[in-house]
Amino acid sequence: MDRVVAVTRMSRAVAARLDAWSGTVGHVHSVFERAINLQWPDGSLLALHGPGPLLAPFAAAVDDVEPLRWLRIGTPVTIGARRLVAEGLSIPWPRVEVVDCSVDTAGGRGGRSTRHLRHWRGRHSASLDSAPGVAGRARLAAAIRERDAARLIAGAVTLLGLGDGLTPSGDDCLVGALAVLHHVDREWLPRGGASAVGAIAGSALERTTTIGREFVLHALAGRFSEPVLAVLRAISPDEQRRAVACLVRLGATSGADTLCGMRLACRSLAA
Amino acid sequence: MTTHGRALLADGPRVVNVGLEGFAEDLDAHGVPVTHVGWRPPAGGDVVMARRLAALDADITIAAANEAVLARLTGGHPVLVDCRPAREAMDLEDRVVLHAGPPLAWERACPTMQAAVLCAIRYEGWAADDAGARRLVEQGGVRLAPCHSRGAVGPMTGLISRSMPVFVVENRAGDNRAFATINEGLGAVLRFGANDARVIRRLQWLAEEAGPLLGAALRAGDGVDLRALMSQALRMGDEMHQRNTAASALLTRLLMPAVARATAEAAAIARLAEFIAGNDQFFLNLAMAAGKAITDPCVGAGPSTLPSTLVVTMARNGTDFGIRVAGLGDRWLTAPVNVPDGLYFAGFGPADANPDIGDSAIVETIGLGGASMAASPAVAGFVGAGGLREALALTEEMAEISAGEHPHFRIPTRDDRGAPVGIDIRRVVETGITPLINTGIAGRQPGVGQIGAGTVRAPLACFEQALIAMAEARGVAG
Amino acid sequence: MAYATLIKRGAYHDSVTLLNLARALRGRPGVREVGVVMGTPANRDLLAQASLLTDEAATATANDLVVVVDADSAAIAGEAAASVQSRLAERVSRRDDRGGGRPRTIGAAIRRMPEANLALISVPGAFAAAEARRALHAGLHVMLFSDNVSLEDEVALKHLAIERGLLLMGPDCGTAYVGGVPLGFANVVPRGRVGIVAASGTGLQQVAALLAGRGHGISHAIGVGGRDMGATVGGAMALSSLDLLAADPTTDLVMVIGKPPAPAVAERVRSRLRAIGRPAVICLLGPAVTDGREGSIITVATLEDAAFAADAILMNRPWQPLAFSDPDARRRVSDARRQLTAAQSSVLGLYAGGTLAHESLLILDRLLGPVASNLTDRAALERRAGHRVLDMGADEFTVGRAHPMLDPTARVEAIREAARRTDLAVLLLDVVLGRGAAIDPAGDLAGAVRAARAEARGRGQGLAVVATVVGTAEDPQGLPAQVATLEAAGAWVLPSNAQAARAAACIAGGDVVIDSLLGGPGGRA
Repeated sequence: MDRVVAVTRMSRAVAARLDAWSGTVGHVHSVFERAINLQWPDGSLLALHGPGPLLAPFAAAVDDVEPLRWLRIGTPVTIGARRLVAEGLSIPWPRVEVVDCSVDTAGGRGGRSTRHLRHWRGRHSASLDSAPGVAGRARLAAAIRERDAARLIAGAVTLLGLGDGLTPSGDDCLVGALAVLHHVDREWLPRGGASAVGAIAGSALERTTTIGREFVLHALAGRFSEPVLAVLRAISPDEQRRAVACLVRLGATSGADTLCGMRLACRSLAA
Repeated sequence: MTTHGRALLADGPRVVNVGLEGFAEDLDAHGVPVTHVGWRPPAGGDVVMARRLAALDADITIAAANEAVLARLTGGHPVLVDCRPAREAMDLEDRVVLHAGPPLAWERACPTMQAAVLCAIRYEGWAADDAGARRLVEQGGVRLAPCHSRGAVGPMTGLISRSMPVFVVENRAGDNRAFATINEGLGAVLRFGANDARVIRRLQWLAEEAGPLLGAALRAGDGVDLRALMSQALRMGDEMHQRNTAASALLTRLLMPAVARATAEAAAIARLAEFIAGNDQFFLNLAMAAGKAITDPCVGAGPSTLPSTLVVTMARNGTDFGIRVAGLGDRWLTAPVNVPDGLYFAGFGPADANPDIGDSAIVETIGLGGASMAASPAVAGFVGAGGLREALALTEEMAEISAGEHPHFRIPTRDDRGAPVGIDIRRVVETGITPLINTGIAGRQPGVGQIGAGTVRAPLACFEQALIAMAEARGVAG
Repeated sequence: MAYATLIKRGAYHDSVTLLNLARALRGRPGVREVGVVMGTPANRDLLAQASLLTDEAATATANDLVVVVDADSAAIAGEAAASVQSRLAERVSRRDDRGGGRPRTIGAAIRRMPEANLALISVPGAFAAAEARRALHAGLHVMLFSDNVSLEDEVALKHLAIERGLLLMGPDCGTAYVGGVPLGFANVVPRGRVGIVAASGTGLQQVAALLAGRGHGISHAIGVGGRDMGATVGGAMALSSLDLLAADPTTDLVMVIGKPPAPAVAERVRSRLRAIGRPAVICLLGPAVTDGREGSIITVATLEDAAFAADAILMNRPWQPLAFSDPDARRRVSDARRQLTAAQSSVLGLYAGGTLAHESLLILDRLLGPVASNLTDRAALERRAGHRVLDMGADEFTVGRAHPMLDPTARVEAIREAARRTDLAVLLLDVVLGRGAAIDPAGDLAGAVRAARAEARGRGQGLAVVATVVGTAEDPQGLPAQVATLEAAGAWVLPSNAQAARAAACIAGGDVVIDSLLGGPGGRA
């Protein structure tokens, strides 16, 4: 008898993929304390974690992550009819809440709601203060200030794969900056910065980990985790404080590094 | 203060946190490996009991004795060798009826037990009807004694009388034997207190045809290695108490060829085969006999020679729950039984349940049954305990109160670690965790049969009494 | 200089695991530098910059975990690299532990986490000794946070520990630093070269915070409990700890903090320090202690002096004890005194830290004459008016309440009551920061302080509030912010407890005291 673990929330991107890919067989890519990742034949990932906000734009939350942690890396997982099937495990989504993780639909107010991020004073990872970290951030800042695609690529390439963590600190910083950029000026990247998007996506393949890359690819397309979106959407000072505190708590320094990138972009856009 | 100390300073602490949970959260948040203990005052806060515990914990001869007993518990090697009438195999005399559980006075026995005894008396022909049978017992014409006192065990009412065929199990790691009847099947059976012509006819068939056939088959070979069979069954989802399906199938596979060769009567073979095939719990009695064979050598001569605090018997007679501890010899420590808690078949509910009854808790005493719940998640659901996660948690709980892990009985869902075995009365009293027993639920009305399945806990009082007795024997002031 | 490299292809471990791994590797004796990163091009560059990019490490790709160890010898580097495998495997096996629920006993906890090496025990005192015994029997070191453990039990436990080569910190040990990890109530301080054996929790906190303020860190700080250096226990753990620190290559200076030991024990401690041969500072908080130097061993009488003497040794410069670090101290004292009426003459100290209270008591007693305290003579406390120092963490104040480091209620009430007194000149307070302490301890008291001063002003009296904040900027509460909060409420915050006590004495005692501290050469109590 199969154990059943139900999906309660998933991102729109995940929902679209699962609808379109019936019959596809992926495999278990990695297993952690609180989440696992599945990988599909095209290299993309699907993260599964416990109840709560979606921690990645490519994530789905299940009602109980414990049984998933028994899966061995490499175990095949098939997309069935409204469920995922692995050995001894069935992961259906009978009544799932689909969440849009896209900044585009976050609604107006752009720059004003993120102004407070300019003054964020938390501590990010030391690797962002290394020579390449500082250089990469400077390039990123200049690129955003002047909407300069070439410098955006240069900054991103310097930061990709830099530092500790499965999502290296440099990746988190880049994702944070992209989040604010999409939020405040949603025209530039898809149009003027389109070449940059392609180039950065390409570099991500070699320059960073699979998991880091997945975040970056989604970020380039304007999709982010719920904690990041919450920071962008928070309006009152209380909401902002809570959202920032929640994001800071993610990972060892992942949240803080993301905020570092958000602050960088806020300052550059204000200039 | 050499290597241990230096290692601590060099590697950093990896912490077991006992007490304020905030410390564990703080350490965890900073990436320090930490396990938080869900601590409760030992012995439920009873300071006198805690002092006894501390004294017994510090007693190194107890530690040594426990190791010896644990070795016997895990080294016992039960092999099924024969099936013969109880009067031959056990020298069971006339006008004696053995029953499950600790010693029981007729007046205190529950209706189900009484009904079964009356039926057994009529089966043996010692009385013509129930009224006569009742008079016999009340006036002492028929004696009652625990199966345990005669090297045997019985499920539910657990009755054995001299004409009944019993399986004979040898302990190859020692020189003792254990006995149990052939499981009658489901429904209206003696085991559940049924008392009518059908029961007696079946008992007669068992004595006249099934028993001799099984005996002949067994005697023709080298015996069936029950330990190996149970290890295999454990890996197939059985826990040998509520689920014996795989074990019964494996046994059948091993026995039938010899049965077929033991007689030319095809009809008899067919009747036996159908009988066994129709009974998923056929192996239960053998699992119990195996348990008895393993634990009997662990019953010591007394606390001065073998002061072990490990439990070697757990048994119920429908009125009392009794345990025996290796270091306390033959002494029974009893307390009123609990009522099982679980899922009921359609049409039945908790009000219909008989109090806990049977020697089958011997299975938990050797690490199977409730202790091996993790091997049998299906049983967890069946007895209302939940799913795999709950099953694993229950096995972990049993591990908290057990002295070791069984080298032969391994549980695949637990990374192949051995089943927890060797229940230590000190750990039971300290933590308040009492052994969990998977059990069928019998109907309170005699003869109704099984009405459900569930779990029941051994009463803490038995273990507290045992601890006090042990402490007194070791000269610990109470 | 020797390197060892370990590459785990396609290995995914979460950041906390890797950070912990890196820290553990760095802490191994003989290891100079460590790199634990995913093998992305950017990280390979970082390794190259740190001279850690071995040939093998250069072959790693983005999804490989790379561990490079630079150590004093090939053997040490190899061992360190080998330990990575088992560490990561341990994490995996812990992750795979699907057994639900928490372990209910130490034995079960060890089965779940076989690599455990220390039990942190904070259960009620009546049960603590038994748990400690179990932990020791199971081969774990013990940090015994619990108090109310009998002296008998302490002696037995420490003998058992020593027999097994294990540490037993405590009883009543609230703070320790082991291998760079703070345990219990501890301030965030850097890892460094000072090794400490402490018979007092808040005493250790004060010294550690002051050292951190000067940029010095702690190698290890081992708490031995307040009774260890008394005659009965005989310094059992203190001596063992000194031996441990002696063998520790990361410790350059050894410090002992406590009350004056029994004479026999004092001699054993000194001779052990002499044998160790490294610079040492002994801080003994007692009435007759005077500063002194014996070879490389300096004896001091206050916690502040312990930190500053250590700083002087480490920085190789001479050291002179100071009365106040603030050159303006005399003026501030005068300002405060000007607002007092003739009736106001007493000092009331309300302390969360027991040792800090003790230190203040000694200083005030020396400068002002008899001070009543629940630390010395509870009966006298009832009888005498005048100066008082109360350890609010003592049993009589914590019935049904958490310790004042966590729960301000008792002190707030005491401040309110004190505000009504017309004879009170100075209110003396300590605020202790760090992990485990309250979220905003200064804020908790600020309101009551403000109100008390206002109430006094209403009577035409100036109430001086003098305080010290024990903590660092890195503490979750943040030292500067906490100091600012108290100053905004009208308190004079001094950088150490000793200085705060002296300031209080000056304000209450007037010119006689001020001059003895600040006037004339060598004038310092």
